[in-house]
Amino acid sequence: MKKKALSLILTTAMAASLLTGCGSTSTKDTSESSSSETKETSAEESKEVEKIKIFVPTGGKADDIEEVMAAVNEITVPEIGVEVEFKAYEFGQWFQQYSLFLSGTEDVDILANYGGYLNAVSQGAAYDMTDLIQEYGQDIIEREGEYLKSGEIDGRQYAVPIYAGYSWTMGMIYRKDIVDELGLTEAAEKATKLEDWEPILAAVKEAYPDMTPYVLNNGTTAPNFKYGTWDDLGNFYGVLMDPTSDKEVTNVFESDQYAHLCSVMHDWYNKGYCDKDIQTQTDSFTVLTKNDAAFCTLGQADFNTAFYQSTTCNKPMGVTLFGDQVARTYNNVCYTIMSNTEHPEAAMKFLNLWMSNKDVGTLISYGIEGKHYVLDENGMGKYPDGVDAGSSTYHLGSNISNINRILWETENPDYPELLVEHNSNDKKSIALGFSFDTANVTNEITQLDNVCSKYQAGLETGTLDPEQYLPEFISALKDAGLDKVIAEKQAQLDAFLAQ
Amino acid sequence: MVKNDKGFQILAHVVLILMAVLVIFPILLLFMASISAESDIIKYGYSLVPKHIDLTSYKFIFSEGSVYHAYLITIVVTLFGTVAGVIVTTMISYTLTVPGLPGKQLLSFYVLFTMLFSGGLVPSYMSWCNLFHIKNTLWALVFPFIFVSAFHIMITRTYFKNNIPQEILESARMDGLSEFGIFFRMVLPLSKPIIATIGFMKALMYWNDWKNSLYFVTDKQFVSIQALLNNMLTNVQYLSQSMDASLGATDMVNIPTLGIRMAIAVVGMLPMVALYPFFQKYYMEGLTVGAVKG
Amino acid sequence: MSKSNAFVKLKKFLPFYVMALPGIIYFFINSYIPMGGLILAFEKYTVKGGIFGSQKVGLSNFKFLFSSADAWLMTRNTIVYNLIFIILGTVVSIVVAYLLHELKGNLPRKLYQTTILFPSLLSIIIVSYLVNAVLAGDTGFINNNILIPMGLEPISFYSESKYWPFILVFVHLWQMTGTNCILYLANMSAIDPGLYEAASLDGASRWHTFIHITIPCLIPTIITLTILAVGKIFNSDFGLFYQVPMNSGALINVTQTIDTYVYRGLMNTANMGMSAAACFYQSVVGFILVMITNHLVKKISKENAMF
Repeated sequence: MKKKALSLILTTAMAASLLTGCGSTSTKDTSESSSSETKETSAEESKEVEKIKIFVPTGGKADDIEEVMAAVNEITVPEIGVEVEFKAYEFGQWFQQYSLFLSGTEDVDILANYGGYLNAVSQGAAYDMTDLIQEYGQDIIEREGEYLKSGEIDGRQYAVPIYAGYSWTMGMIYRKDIVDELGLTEAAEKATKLEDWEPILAAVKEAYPDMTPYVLNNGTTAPNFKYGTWDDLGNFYGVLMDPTSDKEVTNVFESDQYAHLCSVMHDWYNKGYCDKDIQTQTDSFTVLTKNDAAFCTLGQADFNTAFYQSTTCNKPMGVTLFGDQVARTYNNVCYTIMSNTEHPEAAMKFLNLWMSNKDVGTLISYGIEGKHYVLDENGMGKYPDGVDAGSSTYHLGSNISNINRILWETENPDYPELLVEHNSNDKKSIALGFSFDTANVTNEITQLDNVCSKYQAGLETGTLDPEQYLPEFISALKDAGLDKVIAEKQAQLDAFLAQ
Repeated sequence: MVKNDKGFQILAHVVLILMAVLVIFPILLLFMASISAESDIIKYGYSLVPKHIDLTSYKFIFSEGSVYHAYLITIVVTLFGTVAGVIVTTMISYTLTVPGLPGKQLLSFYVLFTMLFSGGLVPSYMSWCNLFHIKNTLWALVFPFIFVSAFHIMITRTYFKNNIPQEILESARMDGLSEFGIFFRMVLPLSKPIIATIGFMKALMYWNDWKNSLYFVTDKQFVSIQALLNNMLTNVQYLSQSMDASLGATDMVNIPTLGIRMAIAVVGMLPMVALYPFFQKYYMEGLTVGAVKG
Repeated sequence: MSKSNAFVKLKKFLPFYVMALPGIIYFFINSYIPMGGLILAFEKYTVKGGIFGSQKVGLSNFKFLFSSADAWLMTRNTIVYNLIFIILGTVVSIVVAYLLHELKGNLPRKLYQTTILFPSLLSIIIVSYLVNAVLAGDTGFINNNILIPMGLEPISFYSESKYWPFILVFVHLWQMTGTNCILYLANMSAIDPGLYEAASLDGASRWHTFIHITIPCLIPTIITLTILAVGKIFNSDFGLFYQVPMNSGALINVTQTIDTYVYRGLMNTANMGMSAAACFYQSVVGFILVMITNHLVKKISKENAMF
């Protein structure tokens, strides 16, 4: 009994120390904040260096980030008088915390946005940088050209998109070594319509019974026809069927083309070219291909897809585009300045330098030369001897800025030139730069998204018979208010085109 | 004693063995998947006998040097949070059973209301970080959301109410014991089963929690094991699915995506299984002996 | 006179208020301060306006919960599954706890009990992969190792909604029974063994003692748990209804609950006001139901009511 009483006293003492512990941290906090205040005043006196913070996601490593940022600041402080602090979140963390960042709770000046910046704008988290970019972002304007519009809403600039592959279309991505072996190389290259692939899939199924001929691209995270030849104008609800000439927003689900795609998939499903459980596929095309379990998939495709896929899947891959690449609004990665920042000019200056200065871009992506990467004989980056992706201490990766950096050894050496060439010369969607503001139809969108999760995957994977379910899908969409959304989109597009 | 007891014992064994099999079987599948070669799972599905044993997933997890440190963080937080949380929980539960306490109904309502309404993540985050400054401290893993739960208070209260005879407490008062003395020296020892129960539930919540670490901790030295594992899981998932060229996983590692999910589950669950018997004895052996003594 | 009376009362009860104080403070900090955020349900949140200064939009954030064609379906599913979970969960947990409690031999008891606890240590995402490992069309255990070797047609579970009410209930019980029965075990171990001995001396059968001694001793706990569960009747375990069926569209008629509807509807727009509105709606319904249930319990047996 006594022993127990003693242990209880101990635990209450722990609880007490816990309370005092809290007290001491708070006093430390105030002392910290007062010291930072003095720092601020001294900074105000000299009016030279402004400090900004940036949050980015990464799939790589960021252990030595402070060291790398010190090196970055050696460039940025003399050039633009800005000291920058990066905080790198792993992708997993990032997506779970992004909405928290958007609510303005964090002390951050520049935020990376993956999959668009519209939510940032609708929550008022994105700084209107229209004037700022004119003043401090000349290099960005020059680099992006027309594509800068990918960061606009209603003629106001809210985001700086990275200079990405804006021009793409739907394409079939397949195992090139297998079509070569089956003597179908030419057939595959010429199969620019979905139904043209039927005989190829039949041949693959026969020759490789262990391999699923057709699988989904991303597991179940994106619908099968997400990257269609149409311009989806931000979501599926109203598209431009021919983005280079059409001005009419149409219901893609009612189009003959969509019905045709669904019926081809249904045919494949019945013939056993896809898994019976294709709707709930748990692994991505990349994982399945790496393990010789898949032959082909539909996806977003451009000039670089074959090269890229060959590297990630570790197999020789081919791509057949279903039509010409078309440039469109596509803001997968873009940077916004937080609306509650105290240093908008400094943030803009830094973005401009980062997007144009190759040394800064390389430092941020790959770290310090000799320590985190070395150059090979072709001037491409690789890990130093004895270091690999797992043991590296700094490597944010290529994806956080696009081409203002050296290339990594696994990349297509011609990528930057080809990218500029395609972005400049490919056909452009007439809606390039258009962003759909859903504020007036939020209620409809929630219902439409629910209707889509019921039917879309089933129809697009061929699991559901389009004869029966496509009309049901279309009428459910109309009940959920699709016509209203399309009308709203048409009105916004007309206003955009009139500008 | 009871006549048909042999029949009952056999029936009980049969039912429980059946349940145990239903539980063990999928978990065995999970364990085997965690040590199988990835290509085998993709080709032949999950199986009870791995065709090739492959420990890459475990190597990958433990190659992250901070795993051991994260274990330590979780253990410290779980121990402290459970002990302190159980004390606070039982104290307030006990007051809810005191006969004639003015404001008792209001207090019950005050507690229960927190179970029904919550302000949501963003307001909680703002209040904890801006008013109480717990960001990047160990307290961030202890206090928000988990520390005391209305659910535990209500079930503990019910237990106290039905199993602590007021007469014993009354006679202790006669003997001149203070109310705190009665609580710590009479009520708590009489309540070992419920204390072990809510203690275990709380320990489980602390052990499995990754959200507090995710939201309130950016400093690597305070990341808990489940947060670390969850992070790996979502990362692997994300990288294996990222196909958009601009997201470029070209220079990322080749990670076994299937096995690692399962290995993560095993790594996250084993220590808790090891810890469990410590709680178990209190509600399995009963306190009947102690009750008579008390 | 009354003053000194109050003083005596205060002196008598003061230690109890002190005991309750840490808990009261904690709830104030953890729950009541953030509850100011409930106002988000009536706002269009912007960073500039913050929680209290954003534009008020009345009830329009709630509209999406009621205007959908699925409104009835998701409400029905949420309530019916919860009722089944409450009833079956209670019955199964009590039966299992009783078997464990009455089993002879400490080692087998502990082994069984530890075993059935395993699933509660798994996250729902892992559970969804396990379910997939068992049910998948081509690689799943049931089709691959049972149906096909027996010469039966394989079943494609993820496109047949008729199996899923059973699967979901099973998975829920599989995962929750381990922890739930601990609570009943704890309460059973507190029952005075003298009661059982007296009954067996009277020649009462096992069934008789179960019904007349064990169950009555558990009634307060059952009532408490039920009232608490009723308060959550409009909520559902998102993982169970979204991850476990792998978000399969073919199953939506039997898997759509209020939480999955809200998630599916808001995942692209991340509208804070609308998700706050959904939570508020669930809370208000839960609150009303708890008040009603508590009132009913009070009428029947006053000592078991919550407040």
